[in-house]
Amino acid sequence: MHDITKAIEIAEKIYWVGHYDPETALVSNPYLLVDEEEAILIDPGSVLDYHQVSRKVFTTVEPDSINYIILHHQDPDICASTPRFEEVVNPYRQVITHSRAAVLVVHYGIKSPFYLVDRNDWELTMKSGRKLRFIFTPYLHFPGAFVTYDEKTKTLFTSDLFGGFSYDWSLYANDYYLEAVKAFHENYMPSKEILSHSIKKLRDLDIKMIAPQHGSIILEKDIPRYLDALEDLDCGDYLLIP
Amino acid sequence: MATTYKDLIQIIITREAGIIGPEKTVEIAYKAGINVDNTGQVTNSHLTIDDLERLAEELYNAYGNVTLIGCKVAVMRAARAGNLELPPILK
Repeated sequence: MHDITKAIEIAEKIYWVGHYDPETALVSNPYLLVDEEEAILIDPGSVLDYHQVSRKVFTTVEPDSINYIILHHQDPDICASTPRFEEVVNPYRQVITHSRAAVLVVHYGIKSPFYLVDRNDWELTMKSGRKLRFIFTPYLHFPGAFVTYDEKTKTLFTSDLFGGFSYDWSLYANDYYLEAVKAFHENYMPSKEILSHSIKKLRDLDIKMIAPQHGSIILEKDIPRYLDALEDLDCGDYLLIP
Repeated sequence: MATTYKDLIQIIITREAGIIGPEKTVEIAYKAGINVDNTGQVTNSHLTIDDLERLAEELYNAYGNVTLIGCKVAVMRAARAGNLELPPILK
């Protein structure tokens, strides 16, 4: 069992820094990537979780080491706490996001300069030479949605993709998590065509771990099963509702 | 083979195993008069729209709307394919 009251290392120097609230079916998963003297905070989360998340982040790294905050899209459960982090992290940090999301996240009061993935060849090279690749996953579930692939650990940070509804949450996916994922995607993703388009792109990556922003982390042995299921999932069926 | 209410109930039972967990799903099903074996399969031979409605209400009362949101789209799709009426709670 993991002590989820503390930051948990899920891959080399990559930490889950989320907060589990048993009353919610939509657990949020911020992550912290540490690379030598630099750190990147990924989808820092809701203001409601700020106290718990920031405690885990700042017991793992010095605030000044956080040079980037990745916001995979603009939803409040992903990025509403960003202004709180801005008050304490490196004053020269940048917010990494898509240009479509940048015009929206400023409404949270975010003041950092942007590093726009769609204007920077969909990649970031850190000081050490470590590369993060950003893969465009349009309309899943935001037009400017993207996911982040860490070439070093082969971890894929997928934002809402591979997220799940679950009152039976565990840090790592259990035998039943695929059903929670189907439930979430049927409700959030706009169509089978759009979902399968991006899943096909992800198949080109050598993925060791999927770290979604909601739900549970999926390990390498299960990844093909999840890719197959989502590539074939019927979604966008809100048109069925009168 | 034609879609039945048992099929719709099976969709919910399978889905809820992921959302609330298999043990809680079996408990809720039992309260609604539905039997589930240890592989997650519904064992009642004949089930009706009333059974479906009772199961949905038990889920809603115990765990709230997310449990219904999580299965509603799949159930609606199957009901439409089988030309089956749904109870109001699942529309």
